[in-house]
Amino acid sequence: MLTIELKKFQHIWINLSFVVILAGIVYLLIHVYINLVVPFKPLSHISLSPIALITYSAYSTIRMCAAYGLSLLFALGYGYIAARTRFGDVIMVPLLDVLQSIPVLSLMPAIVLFFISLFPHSNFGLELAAIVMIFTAMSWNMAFSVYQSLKAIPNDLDYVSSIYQFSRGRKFISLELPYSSISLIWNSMMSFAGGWFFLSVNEAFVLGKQSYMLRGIGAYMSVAQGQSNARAMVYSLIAMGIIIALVDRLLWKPLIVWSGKFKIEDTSSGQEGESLVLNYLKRLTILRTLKHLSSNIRERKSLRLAYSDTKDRIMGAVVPVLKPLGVVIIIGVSGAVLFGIYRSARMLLDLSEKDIVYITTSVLLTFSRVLATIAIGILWAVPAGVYIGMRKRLATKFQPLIQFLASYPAPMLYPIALLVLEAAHIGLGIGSVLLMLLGTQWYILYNTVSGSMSLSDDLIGVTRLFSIKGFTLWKKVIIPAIAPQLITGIITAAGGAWNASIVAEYVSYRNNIISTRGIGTLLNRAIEKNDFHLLFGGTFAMILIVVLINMTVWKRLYRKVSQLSQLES
Amino acid sequence: MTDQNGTTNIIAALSHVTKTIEGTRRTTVTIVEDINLQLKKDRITALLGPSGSGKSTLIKIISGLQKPTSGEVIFNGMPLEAPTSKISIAFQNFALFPWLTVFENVAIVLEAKGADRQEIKDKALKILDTIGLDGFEDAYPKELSGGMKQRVGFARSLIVEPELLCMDEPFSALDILTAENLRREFIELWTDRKLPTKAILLVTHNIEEAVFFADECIILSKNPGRIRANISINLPHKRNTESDEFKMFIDMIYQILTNPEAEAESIQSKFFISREKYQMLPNAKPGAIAGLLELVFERGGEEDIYKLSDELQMEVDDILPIVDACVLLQFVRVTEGDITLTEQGKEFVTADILERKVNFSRQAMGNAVLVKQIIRLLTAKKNHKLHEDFIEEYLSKYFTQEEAKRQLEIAVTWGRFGELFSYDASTGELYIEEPAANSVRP
Repeated sequence: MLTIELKKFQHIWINLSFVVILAGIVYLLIHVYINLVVPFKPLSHISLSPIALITYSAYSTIRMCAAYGLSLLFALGYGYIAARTRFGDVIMVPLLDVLQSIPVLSLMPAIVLFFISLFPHSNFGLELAAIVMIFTAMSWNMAFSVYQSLKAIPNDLDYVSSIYQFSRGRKFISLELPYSSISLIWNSMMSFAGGWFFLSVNEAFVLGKQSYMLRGIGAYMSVAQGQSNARAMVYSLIAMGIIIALVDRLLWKPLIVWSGKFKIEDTSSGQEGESLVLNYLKRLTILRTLKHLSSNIRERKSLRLAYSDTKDRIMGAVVPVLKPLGVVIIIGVSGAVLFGIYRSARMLLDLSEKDIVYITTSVLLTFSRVLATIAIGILWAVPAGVYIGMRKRLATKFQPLIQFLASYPAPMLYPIALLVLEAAHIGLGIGSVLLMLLGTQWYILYNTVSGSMSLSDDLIGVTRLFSIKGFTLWKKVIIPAIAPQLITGIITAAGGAWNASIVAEYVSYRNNIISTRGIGTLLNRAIEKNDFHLLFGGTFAMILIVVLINMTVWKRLYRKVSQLSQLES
Repeated sequence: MTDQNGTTNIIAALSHVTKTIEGTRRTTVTIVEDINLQLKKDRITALLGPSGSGKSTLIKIISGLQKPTSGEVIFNGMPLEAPTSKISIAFQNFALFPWLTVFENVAIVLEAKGADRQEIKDKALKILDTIGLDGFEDAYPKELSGGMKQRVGFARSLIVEPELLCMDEPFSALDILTAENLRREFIELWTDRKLPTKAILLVTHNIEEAVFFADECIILSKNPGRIRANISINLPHKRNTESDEFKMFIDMIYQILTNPEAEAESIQSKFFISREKYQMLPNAKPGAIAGLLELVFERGGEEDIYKLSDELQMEVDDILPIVDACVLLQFVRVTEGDITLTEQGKEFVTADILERKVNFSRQAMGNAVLVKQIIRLLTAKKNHKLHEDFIEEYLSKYFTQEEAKRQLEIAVTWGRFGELFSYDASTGELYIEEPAANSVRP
């Protein structure tokens, strides 16, 4: 009797706490909204006090969340259309490859000018611009993951949905979305990390003669760096760490544990562990009551009839329009793309010989830095990753740490790295490799660890049994076994390194800008000088080299390697 | 099986179905070619073939998931255009949604049809109960063993009350014992008419499974898949896998499958004809034969068989072997249910006992192959003796063990009655009595 009473009591408290938390979030959002609609003010004042930092952190996080929500919608829509239409495979997927390799800096002028012109009198436009810039760092790989998941849905499950005549909506809700969710959540985590990476660029930037500053942790960091305020820099580093850890605990961990049920393999291994937040949500009776209530309402016969009636009527009105609309959209998009190509070609032709030489040398320099970054990354991260990965206990301990390091925005560590470089008398020409490495090495490490974790105990046992050691062990067993994962890691790292060149080759340090020749510097300079020809030429060159290398080297290698490892299973 | 060739009993049919796909370098690969088959009410049809024979493709074509390149699928008398839940599939690897519970996995297909919640609940609980999943409603597929998962697969494909249930190697992902157990339970439900489906199509590469389930077994060739043979398996269900008939079918199908170049029909006929080539003696004692002949004679040498059985208060089935024996011995002729004494028959009836024996022996020697063969063997041997095992073994080439024994028994009673040879039950020997030592035997 007493326990029942106690349980009831607990229920009330748990539900009450949920309502309070919900109210808090709503209040915060309203507060933010009110602050967003202030009159247009490009250069917000940034206070370096730790109290202000808390507010800034909240602003930045909400911006990130807004951008993430946008990315999620985009990814689901784009991925779905790309996977389900013929048009998608031919145009949308290659387009995604290109979009993925456009550095955010190249899009910045267009985005900022567009949104400011939409809301000329309010800071809302500027905020939207920042959010869309973050969006460009988040959305592409998510869309790609949705596309790939939809393409990989097992045939049998697809057949089930056609035999029993699932409507498109039902198929999406009960098959396509659940099946895509695991990969989408992992990609979301990576996207979030990518968003943090460019936060300092997105919240504090210079466009032509105008400087822009939005209240947020990224802007705080750049002001602190500009003023060489060591204490404020340390504050922001700590704040950043706390935010990442919080987002991980409150958002990703529960999502990952929850998404465990969408795993298609029939193993019931509890690798996902537990999440306190998820357990908390599961104990909320209020959610269950709401769910019951809504399904009861939907179950009412009259309502169901009315629902299906209106649905039919709406569908009847919408469906005939849909097809022509699709055609119009396709024609419109194709037209825009063609026009874009035409304008681009014009712009490229307009480039002077000097510019072309400048662009070529810059791209090649950055390319060699990317290669160096990956080489160094492989050299240390592969042996370390294999060492950790083959010891399962160690690996489960290390993986969250590596994830944390991978999502920590490396540019925030640049001031420290620059101090080291200065002490060692290394210039930025070579030093920028170190800066690029700071962000990208973790991808290689993480993928190597998970790759070698999947080495079966049997396989390890066989190597011990026949005492396969040293060079043979690496060449014949370990490298082939981890190759698919390793290559994924390298592709991600290479993409990251290209992007990082924008902040690594052109850094502010002690009130000065120090830079070294490379594509990152070129793009920064182009924006500063409002030289759109140069901006476009540089972007084009970068996209060209990234896409070409992706297609000719990485994808081929990946296909070969994954075919090999498939033979085994 | 009320009407085997009636058109109304055909649930689905394939007519001249061919499926080709684009191969590499502009070649077309033929998967299945000119397939004609009919799936009938209350029948289990098995599609049996090696891998590459397009079994799975056929299931997809029958269920409307794939369109044939040429030919058509007829379902309920109409061409099938799109998948329908009236034709459902149970998959080899179950194809369950791992994120839905057992109940939800089964219920979702009714939800998709727009059934209301109470109906869904009732039907789902009922089918789960029938199929042996009571108490597992809230379990997730990954918590279940393979056998239980396939039960969920069956329940889902049956809840829509399909007219045709297609099963794509449904037991092959299970371990041997589980599969065996599930097969038996499944056929039990089918014969008890507890499965809400009218016909079943089973795709399998397991010969024993096909013979266990199928009323009709269709054997496919590979590259491309064509129908090589269509074998009726007329054994009652809940088949005994140890029986000779069962093993005969397995043996026959095995030979057809392992000789892909051979004409299936010739292998088939080898099995059937080799057994029927040898004349089969009807199970009738000479006394009964004489009795029947006398009765017919009293009726004026002609009588209706049914009337006869009525008067004798015997089932027709019991009389028939006796009539058959009379026919074989050429004592009577049968035309349209009427039985007429022949000259030899009249002669037999009117003779006394000794003459009857001579008469009988002459007819047996002339018409009963086994009797004639035994005499020939006995006279060929120097001591005129032969052990029964020798003859039984010889007969087992043509008959089942049991039937061989019975045939020998019949031949012996006939031979003894006609005093053609004698039989020593204690030694199991057959022998011709020396004319000198007449009437040694009791």
